Amino acid sequence: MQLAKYIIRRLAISLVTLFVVITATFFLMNSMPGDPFTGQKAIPKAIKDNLYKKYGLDKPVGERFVLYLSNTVTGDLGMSMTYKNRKVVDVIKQSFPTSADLGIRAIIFASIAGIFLGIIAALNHNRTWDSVSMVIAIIGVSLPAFIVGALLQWLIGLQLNQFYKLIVGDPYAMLIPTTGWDNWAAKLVPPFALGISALASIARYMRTSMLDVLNQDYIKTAKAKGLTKTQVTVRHTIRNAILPVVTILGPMTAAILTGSFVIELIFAIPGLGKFFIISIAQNDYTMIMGLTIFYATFLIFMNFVVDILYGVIDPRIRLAKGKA
Amino acid sequence: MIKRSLALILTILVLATSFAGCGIGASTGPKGGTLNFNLGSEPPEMDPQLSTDTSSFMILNSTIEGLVRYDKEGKPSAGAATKWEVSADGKTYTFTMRANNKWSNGDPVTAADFVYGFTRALDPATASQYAYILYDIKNAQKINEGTMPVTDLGVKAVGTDKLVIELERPTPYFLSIAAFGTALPCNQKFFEANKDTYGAEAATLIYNGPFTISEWVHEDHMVLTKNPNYWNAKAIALDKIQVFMIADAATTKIKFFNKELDIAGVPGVDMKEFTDKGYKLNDYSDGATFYLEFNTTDKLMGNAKIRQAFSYAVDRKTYVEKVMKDHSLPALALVPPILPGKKESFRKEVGDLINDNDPAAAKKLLAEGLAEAGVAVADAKFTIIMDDGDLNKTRGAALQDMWKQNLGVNVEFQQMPFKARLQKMTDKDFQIVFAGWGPDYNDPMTFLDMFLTGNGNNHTSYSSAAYDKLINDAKVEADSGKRMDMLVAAEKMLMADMPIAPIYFRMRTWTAQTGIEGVVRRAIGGDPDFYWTTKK
Amino acid sequence: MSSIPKDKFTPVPKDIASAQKIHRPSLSYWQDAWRRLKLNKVAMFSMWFIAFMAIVAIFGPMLFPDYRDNHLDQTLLGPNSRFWFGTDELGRDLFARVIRGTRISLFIGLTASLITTAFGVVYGGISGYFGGSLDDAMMRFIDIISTVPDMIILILLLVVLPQGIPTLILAMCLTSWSGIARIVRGQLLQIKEQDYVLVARTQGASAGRIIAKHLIPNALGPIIVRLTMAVPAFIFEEAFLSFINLGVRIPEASWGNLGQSGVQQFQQHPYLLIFPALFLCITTLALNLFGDGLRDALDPKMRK
Repeated sequence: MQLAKYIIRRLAISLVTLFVVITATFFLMNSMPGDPFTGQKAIPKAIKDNLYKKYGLDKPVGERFVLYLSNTVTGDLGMSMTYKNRKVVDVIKQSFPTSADLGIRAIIFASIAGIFLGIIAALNHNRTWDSVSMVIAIIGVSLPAFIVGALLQWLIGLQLNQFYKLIVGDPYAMLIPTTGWDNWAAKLVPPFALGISALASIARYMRTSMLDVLNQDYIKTAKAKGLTKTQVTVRHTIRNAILPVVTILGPMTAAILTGSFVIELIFAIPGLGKFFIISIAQNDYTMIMGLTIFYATFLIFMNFVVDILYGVIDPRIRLAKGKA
Repeated sequence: MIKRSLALILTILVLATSFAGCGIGASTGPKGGTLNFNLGSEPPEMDPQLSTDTSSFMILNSTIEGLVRYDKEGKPSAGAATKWEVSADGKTYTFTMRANNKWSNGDPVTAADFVYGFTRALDPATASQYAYILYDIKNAQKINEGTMPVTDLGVKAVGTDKLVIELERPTPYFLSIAAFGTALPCNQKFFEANKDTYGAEAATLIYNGPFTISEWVHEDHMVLTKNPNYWNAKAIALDKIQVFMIADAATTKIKFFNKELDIAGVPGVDMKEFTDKGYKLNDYSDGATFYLEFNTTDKLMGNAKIRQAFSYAVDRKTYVEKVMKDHSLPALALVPPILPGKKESFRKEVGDLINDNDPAAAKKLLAEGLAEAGVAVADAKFTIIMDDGDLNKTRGAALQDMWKQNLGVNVEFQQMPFKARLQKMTDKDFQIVFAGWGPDYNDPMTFLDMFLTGNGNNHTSYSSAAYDKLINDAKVEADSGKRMDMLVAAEKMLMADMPIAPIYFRMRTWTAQTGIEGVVRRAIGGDPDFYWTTKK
Repeated sequence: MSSIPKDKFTPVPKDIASAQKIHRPSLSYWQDAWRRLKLNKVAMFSMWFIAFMAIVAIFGPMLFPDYRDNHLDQTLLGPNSRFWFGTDELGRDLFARVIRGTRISLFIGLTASLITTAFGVVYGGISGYFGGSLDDAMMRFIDIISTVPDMIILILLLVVLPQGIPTLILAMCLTSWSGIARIVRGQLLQIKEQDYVLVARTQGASAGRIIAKHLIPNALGPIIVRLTMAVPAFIFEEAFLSFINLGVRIPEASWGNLGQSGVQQFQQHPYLLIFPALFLCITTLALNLFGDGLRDALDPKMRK
């Protein structure tokens, strides 16, 4: 019952947050210079009027806002103003699954590698392997994604494939394709490029969390009652240390799923990432709003899931009282 | 040790590939009839009446055919119309429609499809951005402005095979307008059945061109397949065009070197890399001129001498050769070389109109100009705005350095998104902007009428009664020789007053894999055109 | 067991003074942290490296001021005796530009970190210390701020305000202060409930004394760590903004825009990417490793 109450309260807060975000974005967006139809060549006033009329931009901002809100409630996010005959909902529906696929692969890679490196580091605290694991984990975030992506594209996309062509003697053979998202081989490199920055955070979190747990009394108890080192590590330390890592996975997943612009660009992946950038550059009002709503809802939902999950895993956290 | 394990890994991979059908180690082979081409982006708008961009026009040119289409040499030739007659006063065009010409759903292509296309483009409810391209047609502008019903449009079908188009005024370049994307036909029955999604998917568009869109994965790729029902299908050599939409230049280059693409654009800095790998470079002019636009309402830039100083202080030859490093040409006048004059190129006939790289004169002009404007040298602040883009970072820095060396002024450089830049220009909130202009039709007028007083594209606010008279007189002059003389005089006046300072005429460079022949590149019309392309 | 005669024992004299004597030197929290940091060789090495880069950033551009002059007759030269890192497509000295970029990037990273930290501490401090409905309201505001897409705010500010490094820093700060505010608040909420604060309160310590003696010192560790980690994050953000053409403006150089133009050309001119990327990579690596070391050293739970 407490859980139900909690969920209802969270839902109410989320709706208010969403409303404020929509309002803020709507008015921010309308203060951006230019309009969706600004082009290299000036268009006659009559044509501009026709366009404004068609997209409802001839009405005052306040009226447009009310109209937009009422449409949004019915699930209609409108037509894109750049892709003039595609619905915003369709664009998200068509592009998001690809971004999600890429993002989930990246998160899985980052979690496995990050947790592994974190464990190694913590178990060897202040020894060589600690430093080595952490340097490996962090080196990935020491270069911006656009450099990592370009280097991988060059190293694997060009050099490795050229080498492979030479070996098999077929100039059209490709060992690992590095563009597109239509076969499993092309899905190997981009998640790696996208995941390495999350890897560093996860490894660090895991390490700190492990060290924290290792100092707890119940570990001493476990050791005292004669469990082997492996038993202590696996059954008590890792299991408890993974908890805090779960909390960062929520926001991180949201960030990765929507922040994949650079990787999607470099590896020519038809995902949602680029719309976050180009819709703003092109003043595609309906698209900006649609993406904002999508992104905000997604973020709120992820945080919610993490909170619930956390409560389920860790009974010490009582949700009903919980301050989010 | 390392070598041995590398060899082992490769052996395993090679072995693995013999099992894998696709993916790792896949080979596409040369695939004779399929051309792999990178469009660079998703074509944003494939409804012909709404399209405004070059990528959509490129695909439309291959899939939907208008009354006329550009031939190899860039001349309008028979398309859905087999022939046309122009009335003596130049104001009525009568097109004869091709018989047995079919849409991809089997419907015949008739004159009514064109009437509907033109009407739709001009209907205010359609809100077509390029509707003004058709304003030379009788009553078109009034209809588009909503002051006349669409049924009054000067485009009529006479039977199924004759299309009569009446014009407002004699328009010598009307055939190039008839070849434009906005003037493509529209099958009313099909359109009404797919109203909300017309042109949004492969299946919601109807084709009468050399190819049809057989597959369209948004933001990823498109497959154009040869249209067996096309009237000239036997002349089309390619079976398929695989159209990619890769935006990143470095990735595109890698894909080309991996032979996954058959055609690649070659920017200046990459030319050596391509020639080193044995690729042959081809140039073509896209007809664009790039220039500095000065805001003549600005206190400093309102002074002609200051504008001239900034122009003379640019070393265009060095700029093109050393900074751009491509095959573009230094521009010492506005109208680009590809546009015609009386007999040959307008540019060739008129010659250069301004001096390149004259630092001494520039310094003197700047000092005089500042004195005239009543601004002390120390107080004079200058700003240049350029569009976003990597190339502009280099090019802006080069201009900045030339002005510093040759004029002794520090010019602040601003880069901003295109729309923000245009907003600043509309608000007259700028001093110097670096911009370009491409031709809409094959005549110097497409550049020169931009600087009429009050023209929507005249961001410089240049206003000269003498210039306006020359251009307006030329517009109604029937004698083509006299008309050209007026345009020459106008260009000379523009270069003397210098609201703009031309910098270069753009040339584009591209290359193709061996075995690819007959690719047509052009400045006006769908580019590239693969109508005549063959692949071995 | 045979008994031992009493006279075999001599009583130890009661010496209060020596009983109270502390044999090992008393270490304050900071001394202890410093001691532990010194044990961490990786962190110490990183620290000295950062100090070295700071010196490069401060004095380098004075020694090599020629970062913006074009030498159009000497473009795209590889590293040589005159141009140690070679020249770029305008013949600009890449070494001077990388040095200049060091200054700009570190300046941006440090300033933005200090500003966001200062603001975040105040915001999070108020929210965490006072708690209750004020806390709720302030946290809701953060939730909302972090849900508006950053790009809209960034592009809007960068387009509307006068272009330059101050605007860039402002825009980056506005979109990223909420993280530190959340951390500070979380810390305060946690520390407030600790037993030693309760003890201090029952002993009659004033709110001022509790804040000064307990809350701030105990929250300072995570704040400093966060500050250190924010520097590379901001350097990266500037690099990303350079990638989408919103970073520092020409002719100014930053590691971000040098790396970005290097990426375009590295297939033919690898040095254009290698040098800026190396500076960027090693410095951010050092900052991150130092931050990690600092976190270990400042975490009271790591005390042994």
